[in-house]
Parts: sequence; C-alpha cells; structure tokens
Amino acid sequence: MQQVTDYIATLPVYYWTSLGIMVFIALLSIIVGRRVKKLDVRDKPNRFLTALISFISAFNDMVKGYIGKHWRYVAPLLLTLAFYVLLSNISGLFALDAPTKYTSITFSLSIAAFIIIQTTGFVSQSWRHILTLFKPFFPMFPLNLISDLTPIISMALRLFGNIASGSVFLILIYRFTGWVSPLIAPAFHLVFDIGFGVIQTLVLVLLTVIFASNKVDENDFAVE
Amino acid sequence: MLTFLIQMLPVVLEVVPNEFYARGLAYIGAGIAVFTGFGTAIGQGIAASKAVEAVGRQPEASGKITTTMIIGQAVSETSALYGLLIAFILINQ
Repeated sequence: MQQVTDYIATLPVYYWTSLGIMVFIALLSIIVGRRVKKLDVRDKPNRFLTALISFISAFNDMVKGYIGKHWRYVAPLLLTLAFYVLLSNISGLFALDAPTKYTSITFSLSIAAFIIIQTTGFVSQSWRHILTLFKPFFPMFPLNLISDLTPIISMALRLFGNIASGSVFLILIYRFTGWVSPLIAPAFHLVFDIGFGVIQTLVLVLLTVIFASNKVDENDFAVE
Repeated sequence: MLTFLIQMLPVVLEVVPNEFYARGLAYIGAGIAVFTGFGTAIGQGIAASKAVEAVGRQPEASGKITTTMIIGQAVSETSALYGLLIAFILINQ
C-alpha cells in the first residue's frame, strides 16, 4: 500500500496532464452524446452542437473515402486519437506540461495507431491479413515486416520532435527576451503551440488512415 | 606551415582529455547533427514550390493539394527530427 501511494505521489506532472485531458474528452463526449440523443428531428440545435455535428459528419466522410465499408470501426478511434493529440499539443498554452513532449506518451500513441492499422486489416480480411505479409512473393516477408513496424518509431519520434523542439525554442525566447517576453512570446506560441500542434495532429491522423487503407481488402471500398 | 605544425604537435598531444574536453566535443557533435535540417529545408521548399505550381494550374483542387503537401513535408521532416534527437542526446551527456 505504501509503495502504491509513493508511486502515485512521484508520478511526473505530464501524466496528470494527460489524465486530465482524457477526463475532459470523456466528459465532453458524454455531454454532447446525451444532448444529441435527446435531439428531435424538428428541433433546431444551437450553434455549438451544429458545428460539432457537421465536423463529425465531415470526419466520417473523410474516413469513408479512405476505409470504405468498415469505416464505423475506425472513425471513433481516430477521432479520439485526434482530440487527445490536439488537446495535449495545445495544453502548453494553459501553462501545463504538454504530454506529447515526452517519448513515453508519443510511443504509446504510435503503438495505439499501429494496433488500429493492424486490426483494420484483420477486420477487413480476417485471417487472410497475415498472408499479405508474403504478398508479392515469399522472400519479401522480412521487408514487409519491417515496413509494418517502422511507423511505430517514425510516428512517435515525429510527434515528439516537433513538440519538443517548439518548447525548447520557446524556453530560449523566454530566456533571451526577459521582461519584454509578454510582448514577443505570443506570436511564437501561435506558431509553435497552435500551428505545429494542429499540423502534427492532422499528419498523425491522416498517416494512420492512409496506412490503414493499405490494409483494407479492395472489395470493401464500395460504400453502400 | 609544416614546421609550425611539427612544432605544435607535442603541445597538441599533451592535452589531457578531461570532462570539459568531452563536453565540448559533444556540443560540436550536436551542432553537426542539427545540420541534417539543411537537406530537409531544401526538400520542403521544393515540395512547397511544386504545390504552388499545382494550385496555379488547378485552383479548384487547392484543398487536396495542401493536405498532400503537408503530409509529404511532415514525412520528409522526419530525417531532420532524427538529427535533432541526436543533438538532444549529445547535449544532455
């Protein structure tokens, strides 16, 4: 018991930030889901709900274009991933410790993306997905295995490198400008927190979708 | 020049590699590692210029071109980020 409390007390700050972001996403989705479920066909939703509904339907259309028949399996996972990465990239604005600045978080995110990619293959073509490793001819097996596994490293290090380099740059700016920093730093926050954060979220989600669409059977692309 | 080098050789060889020496070399290595951004910058510039050309030729496809350009740039950025990672590792030694 003592060990458990010690372990919880010595957790780094970004773990708590990440947990807070998860709780925030869960609460937001529960509230929005309840309000959308209560909505009648003749009701007029307010501006916030309209924006969210149109955004989610646009996202679903995007996933449909890439995945095809099995989009219902992939879309919620991807949207959760996108919300989590976006909020944790932006959380530097709220004086929090951005979780994507640390490799432990980004590696777990990219392993989640890898699991999404592989399970999409299994959902689409069941056990025949394993045969795609030997696709053109049998000796290609090690190369296919490596090309399946390297996205774990490259996606994690891409996200980590972008966010960490942005935060190092911001630290340098705060050091150099001193008391003038409230005038100068916001522009750099705009570029390194919001700009890079949004672009990296887009890149992570789109790369996951594109890799997943490579695993989908060709007959599944027709949407009913 | 050669005679000067020969004269300086014992002075150079007598340098004891202490911890400051290693740290300085690590910083130099970090500086060299960040140089990977050179090629990446050229590649990203080429991608952006081609995207501008494509938008000029086909303005109605600008959204798709922008998305493709950003994805390609982010993928090619990975090599520069590996260099940055090596620099971080070297600095923290």
